[in-house]
Amino acid sequence: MRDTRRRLALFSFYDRTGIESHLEEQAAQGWLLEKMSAFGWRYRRIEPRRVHFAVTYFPKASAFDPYPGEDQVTFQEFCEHTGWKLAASNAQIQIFYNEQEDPTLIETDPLMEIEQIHDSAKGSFLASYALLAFVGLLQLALFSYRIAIDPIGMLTSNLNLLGGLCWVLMLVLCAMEMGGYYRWRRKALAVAELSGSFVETTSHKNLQLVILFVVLIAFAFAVMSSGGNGVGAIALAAVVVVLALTGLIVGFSELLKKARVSAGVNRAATIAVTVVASFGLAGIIVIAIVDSMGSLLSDNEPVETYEFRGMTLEIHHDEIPLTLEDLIDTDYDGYSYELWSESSSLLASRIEADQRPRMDALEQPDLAYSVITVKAPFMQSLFRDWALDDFAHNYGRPDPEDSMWEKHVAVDPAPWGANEAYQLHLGGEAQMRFLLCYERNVVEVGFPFDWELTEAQMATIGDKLGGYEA
Amino acid sequence: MPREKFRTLTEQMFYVLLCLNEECYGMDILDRVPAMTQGRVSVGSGTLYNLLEQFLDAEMIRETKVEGRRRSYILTDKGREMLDREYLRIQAQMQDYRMILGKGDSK
Repeated sequence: MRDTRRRLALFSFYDRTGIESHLEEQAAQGWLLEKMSAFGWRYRRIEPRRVHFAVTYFPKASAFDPYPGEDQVTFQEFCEHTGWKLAASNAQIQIFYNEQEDPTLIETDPLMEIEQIHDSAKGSFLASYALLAFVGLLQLALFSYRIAIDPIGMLTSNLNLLGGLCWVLMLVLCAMEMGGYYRWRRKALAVAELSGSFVETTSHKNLQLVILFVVLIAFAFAVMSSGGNGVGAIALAAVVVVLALTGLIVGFSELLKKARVSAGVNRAATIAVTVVASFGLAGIIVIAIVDSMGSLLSDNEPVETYEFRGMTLEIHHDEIPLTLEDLIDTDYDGYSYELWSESSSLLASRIEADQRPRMDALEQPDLAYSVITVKAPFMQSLFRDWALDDFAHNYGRPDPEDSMWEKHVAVDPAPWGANEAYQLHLGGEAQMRFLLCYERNVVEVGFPFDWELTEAQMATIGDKLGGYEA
Repeated sequence: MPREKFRTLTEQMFYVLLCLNEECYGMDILDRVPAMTQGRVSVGSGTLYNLLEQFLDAEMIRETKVEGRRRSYILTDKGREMLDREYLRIQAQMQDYRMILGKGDSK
């Protein structure tokens, strides 16, 4: 039987009554708290018995103190005088226990105790959650901006949606914790003034557990549905590295404490290491993504490579839903068939594919298309509108008379078997690029500029791509 | 509205100041107050620690001796004045009580 055990503690910073009840229950089951840290609370085995616990808040203490200051030791000696022994402490929180039957409480003035809690919370819990909320708002603003400029790219990726979800949940947690604290404080002050009693505190353990569960499930789902390419693996690796980094930074700070480095130096050094390591980590992740771009963009390895004007180019034979051979007779056998982008989310999925000749045979026709399959029916028209915006866009070109002005012009959708069809016009001239809207799919397809499509070819394209599940 | 600090004294504040009418070690107040009040009033160790700090900041008490972490204190004139004021307030309350409930109380 083990003599110690470690448990995560999901109590709110100010939840002194909740923590005391929990520790008393643990003692009755034979476990006494002996250490509190960022890695959880450690308990040691004792004879099960009734033990009173008291959680106190010492504002002058810091998480970076190498050892308790003189004032803190004096406080502890005062408590010891009435039978309260120190079980564990972490930053401003000190937890005492007393085995007497009916001990005098450590805090007997509720108003004073509420102010001690507030003075301790200001420099730690409240500051941390305020910073987290600020970062969360910034990230959500960035997420919203990215959705505004590239809605299709953002919403066809479960990992992107997961990112947005995480920031929303973080803001919910910050609001619950900070809002809960201030609500409790307001009530506690009023009751203490009126009746001299201490209002019980609460935690949001269930909310924290739900959030943790939702994030884990969503993350697992996003990684598994990332299409088997390197994106999911990189996301998983990034999470593992962040967790390891967090552990290293906390460990670094603990090491400085053991070496008796002053709190000020410890704080500065830990912040510096955190900043450097975070930027370093971000750099590593970016390099990893760029390095694996080839495998990210294509599920399959190239079947061959060739040299052209000093460049090494690839030939792929990926399975793609529409090929030139479906539309024309061709003897050319040097084509590369590449499914170069594939992404999926709960809302929609998208593929981008092309068929290109070798660079030394550019007289051969080529083909490029994308298919978006909208899974959420209520978003069908939204995705269509976004696709139309991307199809004909005029960033930096305010003048419709501009020779490069793009416009989408409605054409007869019937030959395509589509609900709607649009052709791109550039400077007033029709181009061989079309946007086709089906029941669930939005298809963009482009052909060589000198092609004239027949109705049979349009029908084939509609058959192959109109109902294709991206 | 929160009470203005030390405008009135709580029972614990009152007895802590009373103990410091004579020089006394801070920690000894934890035993003196219950003894003085036959166990009716107790001051928590944490509350006492904070009260001593606040009384020092408000110059109601001053340190007389420091022996390592053991410190002793005594009331200042300002502290004595606040204690007297509180005594007069309690007296006034007692008189009001007797006036309303004392007369015509046949028990």
